[in-house]
Amino acid sequence: MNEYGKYTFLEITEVKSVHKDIMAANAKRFFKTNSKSVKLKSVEKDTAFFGTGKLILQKGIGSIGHPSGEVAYTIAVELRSDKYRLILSDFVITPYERDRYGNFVPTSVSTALEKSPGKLNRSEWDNNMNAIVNESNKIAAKLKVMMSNTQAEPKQEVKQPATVSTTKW
Amino acid sequence: MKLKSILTIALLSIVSATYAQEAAETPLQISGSVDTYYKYDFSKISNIPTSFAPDQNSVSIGMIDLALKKTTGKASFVGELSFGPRGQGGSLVPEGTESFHIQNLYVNYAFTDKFTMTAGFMGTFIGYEVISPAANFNYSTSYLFTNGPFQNAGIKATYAFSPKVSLMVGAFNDAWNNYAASPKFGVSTLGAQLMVAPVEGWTAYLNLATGYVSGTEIDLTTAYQVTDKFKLGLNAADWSAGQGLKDTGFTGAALYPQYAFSPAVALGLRGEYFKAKKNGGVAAGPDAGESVIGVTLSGNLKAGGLTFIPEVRLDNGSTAKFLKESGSLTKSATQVSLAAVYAF
Repeated sequence: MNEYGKYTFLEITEVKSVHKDIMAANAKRFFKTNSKSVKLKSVEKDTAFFGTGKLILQKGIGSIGHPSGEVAYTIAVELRSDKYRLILSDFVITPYERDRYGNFVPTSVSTALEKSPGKLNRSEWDNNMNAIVNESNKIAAKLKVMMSNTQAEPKQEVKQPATVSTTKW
Repeated sequence: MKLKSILTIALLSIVSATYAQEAAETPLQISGSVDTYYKYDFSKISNIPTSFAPDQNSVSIGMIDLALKKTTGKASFVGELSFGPRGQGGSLVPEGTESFHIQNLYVNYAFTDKFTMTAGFMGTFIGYEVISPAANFNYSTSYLFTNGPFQNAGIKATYAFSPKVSLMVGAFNDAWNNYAASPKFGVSTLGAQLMVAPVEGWTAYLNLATGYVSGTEIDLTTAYQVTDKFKLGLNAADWSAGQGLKDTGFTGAALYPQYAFSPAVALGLRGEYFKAKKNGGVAAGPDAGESVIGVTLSGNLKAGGLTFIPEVRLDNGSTAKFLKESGSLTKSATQVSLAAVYAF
């Protein structure tokens, strides 16, 4: 939890070989590349990027199950010399319910992660918390890849399928 | 031999990559529910004609409901099957020995983010309550639900003008709840739904289904999450029977105030007024020209996927319609029930 009593994912990462201007460009690219899940809301002097995000909670085992809710959060990427920090906070959970057509849709009530779930729903809250931690780690990993870029305009890697020789055998 | 191995490896690689990509984006969704209940009517006879929970003084089962959904790109399907009394006699047109009931069986294609088309057998777009007990607050069902459609088979197009306004228009089979239309009348019911969401937490659906066989039902279904704890729902409907029948059908309205003391504990009331038209035509409820008022108080106690629904229901008719223990008629009936619904 942070000093305001909010659950917070905080990660500080060193990027010594990356110029500050490129770091800012990298941060913008992160929001642009992941625009389906994070939205950039404001930028302060190209050193702090603030946005919102949404992740989907899944219920089930492996790839079998269904979406059980969504989590809205705020995201901040702040740059300093040779390092940056990622802050995810203000997690708000909106459970899904199944509608008459068999689709899972958000309910009309949202709950802050900080709100006590009570004894009856503690295990569900624990599962949600674990999912949030896992997804936060994935976001941090994606950002790390993006922020480690050292080129002003990186070329997108195009994965080619492995070449199979049909002449030599 | 080596070539065969290389080809096999290459083929396996492609399949694995494709599978991994699709599985990450659109895994097969499996969901459903299981429900069981105990009901006791104080006249010692099952009196109130609620769609489900008919058994008196018995621990009985509702249904097991299993739904599959898969989305690949812009295409998706939903298949939902139920097994048990709630899914059979309660909502299926009897066809000899009942075995199961299809709740939803349709395919959907999203041409754009705003425009989708759906075809198949779908849960009805009309009304507040649904067959699945996991999606209702009260366990017993309203007269409006019992006498309205459960499903419609047909094809429909939905266009979302904005997140706050959408319109559905569809052509549906001649009669409700049937898997297939009669050849004579075919796809002859027009259905439409206007959805508006004026403010956050408030959605309203104005529904119309009209056809020679199915008659005409106009329905307003709306719910407003007034605060985090208080929700108010309303359903009002009028149905006029088809096939040339006059003054046949029903009119009714139900109000659903619900208060959540915590995410795990909530209390909800359903107050319903339901009137049969002059020449009757109501499948379950008051006689021709008569009415009934039903008041149902339900609790929802949630623990993980399990919801307990203790309930008290009092129905009062305009005429003596219910039975006393002695067999004589009386205007009112009271029942209590306790249901357990597990949703997964």
